[in-house]
Amino acid sequence: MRRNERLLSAFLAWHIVAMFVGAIPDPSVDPLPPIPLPRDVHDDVLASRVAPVLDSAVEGFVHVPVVLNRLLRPVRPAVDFYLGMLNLQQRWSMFASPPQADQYLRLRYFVAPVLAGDRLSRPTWTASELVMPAHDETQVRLWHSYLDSSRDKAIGSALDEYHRAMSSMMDRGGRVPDPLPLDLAPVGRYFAREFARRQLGPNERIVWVETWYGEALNPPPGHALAAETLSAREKVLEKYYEGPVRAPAVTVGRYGAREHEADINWLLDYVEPR
Amino acid sequence: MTPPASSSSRLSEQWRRLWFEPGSPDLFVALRITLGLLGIATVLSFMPVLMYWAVDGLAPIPGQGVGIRTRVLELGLSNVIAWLYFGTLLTLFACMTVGVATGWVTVFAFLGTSAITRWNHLPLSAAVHVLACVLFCLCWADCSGWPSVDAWRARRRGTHGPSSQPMWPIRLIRVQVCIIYLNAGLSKFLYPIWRDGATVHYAVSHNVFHRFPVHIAPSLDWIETMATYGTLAWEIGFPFMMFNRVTRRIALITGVLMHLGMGTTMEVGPFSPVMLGAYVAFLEPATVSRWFARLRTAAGETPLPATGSRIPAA
Repeated sequence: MRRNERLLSAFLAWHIVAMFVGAIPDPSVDPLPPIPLPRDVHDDVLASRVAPVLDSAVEGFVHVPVVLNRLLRPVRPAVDFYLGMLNLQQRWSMFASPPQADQYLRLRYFVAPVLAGDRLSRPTWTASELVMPAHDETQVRLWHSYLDSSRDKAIGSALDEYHRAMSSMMDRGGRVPDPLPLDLAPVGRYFAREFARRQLGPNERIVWVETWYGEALNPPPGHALAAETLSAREKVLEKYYEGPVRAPAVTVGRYGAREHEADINWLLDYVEPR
Repeated sequence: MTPPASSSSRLSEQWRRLWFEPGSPDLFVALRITLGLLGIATVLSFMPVLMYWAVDGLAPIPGQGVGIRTRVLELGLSNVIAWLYFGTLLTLFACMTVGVATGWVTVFAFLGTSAITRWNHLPLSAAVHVLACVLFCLCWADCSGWPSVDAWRARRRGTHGPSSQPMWPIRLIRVQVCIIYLNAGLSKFLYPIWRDGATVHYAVSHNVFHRFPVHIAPSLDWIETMATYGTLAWEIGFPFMMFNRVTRRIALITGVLMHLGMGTTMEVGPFSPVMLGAYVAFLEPATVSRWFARLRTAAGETPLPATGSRIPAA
């Protein structure tokens, strides 16, 4: 081999090692999921036979990343620096743990009139806007949903990060943190600003934004939702698809408040004054 | 009689042939055009511009890192920078597609793409990470061959691009794709929902991802169970199937069908097209050269001298 080929070989070997090492999850940063006890899968004949075999295989496999991490500890800092510098992350866990419930995100803006001297009155009305999913879920998703997928992904990532931050803060303190983590703030701030620009008069301001996270049952394999349940949910969603839903303002909610619409369970996940 | 080569020199020769054997540049050109178009499609998926590219859009609150985003916001330049970043990246991918200043443009397209992860990671799917990783490999190759503006200019100057070049960037892309699938498969294996055979059921019926608003009848759940286990087996097996020509074809054809199936039943943005774009690196260079030779003849271009390169299975 020529000299430049030897140098290039060294780079290639390093890059491949870095890709492999970077792909191994570090359990101290990225905890591995717990291995569940033997369980009933579902009525599917294939799954009921395959799942126990895979479960027993994973019990042995789950130690592999831990051992590899221990062995690779000396090179990990150099690999992390190299991949971080190039922004070439190598963790590919797409759809490793997809949500098992249908998900929604709703924002509620509290609007107050501006009084003389730029003072604000108490909020007089609210508008509730469904921001996720971006696309009408009762329609076939075609071209426009290609763009909508980025919005859903952005909101989904913010939600995941917020819930992770919340659970780590709650674990430490056992109480709801004050202030709440900021991960969901960009969602409320962006859509509130857009709503104000489109819908508010010159003498109106948004003074408070509530971020409600909603979940509805996505039945497990072998089961289906009753037609009435689905139609009740569609009726609720239809109202949101027509635009932000206005209502008189009552009191602002506190973190952890709950509401129910059809089979959607809403949790007040984040609140922020404007 | 020559003495028998030592095992280390044989190994060294195999390594050299594996990575540095020259091949036709047409495969690089095919990748350049494919990734250029996919880059455009990916950048366009982040529209409206001010929603994703502005610091005060659907982006993390500034205050982390070296403070560039904070400074941009303080200076009131958020919207200007948003349009500038979006427009520049779009232009770079357009230049890459048509082959203008290809070398530099590919490097800057890589830098611009990988920097999005720092600018606003919230809307990014794995498509952007895959695109960055593949572009990184392509940065090291001369992708300016015909058809491109660079090749047209070179011909006017009476010069021409390389008739062959080392295939290591292509091999690196192949290794990268193998790592993506192996890692994705093993990550999935750790989660009970995959071992239960239920993932495809939940993914295709999830209200954010499903393309068709229909619920599959419970009597057909076995199809989803098979698809779940099939995906798991295929992803974990993908790198190992690359060592044999037949299994390699099976893995790649299965991959095409998987990604087409995913793209048809679910809305996952540019992820499926980008993964399929990376598959171009798995095409036989000789086959791609034959396609390009036909195109050159049809366009009245001078054919490239044959290199006869044939990359064995990765």
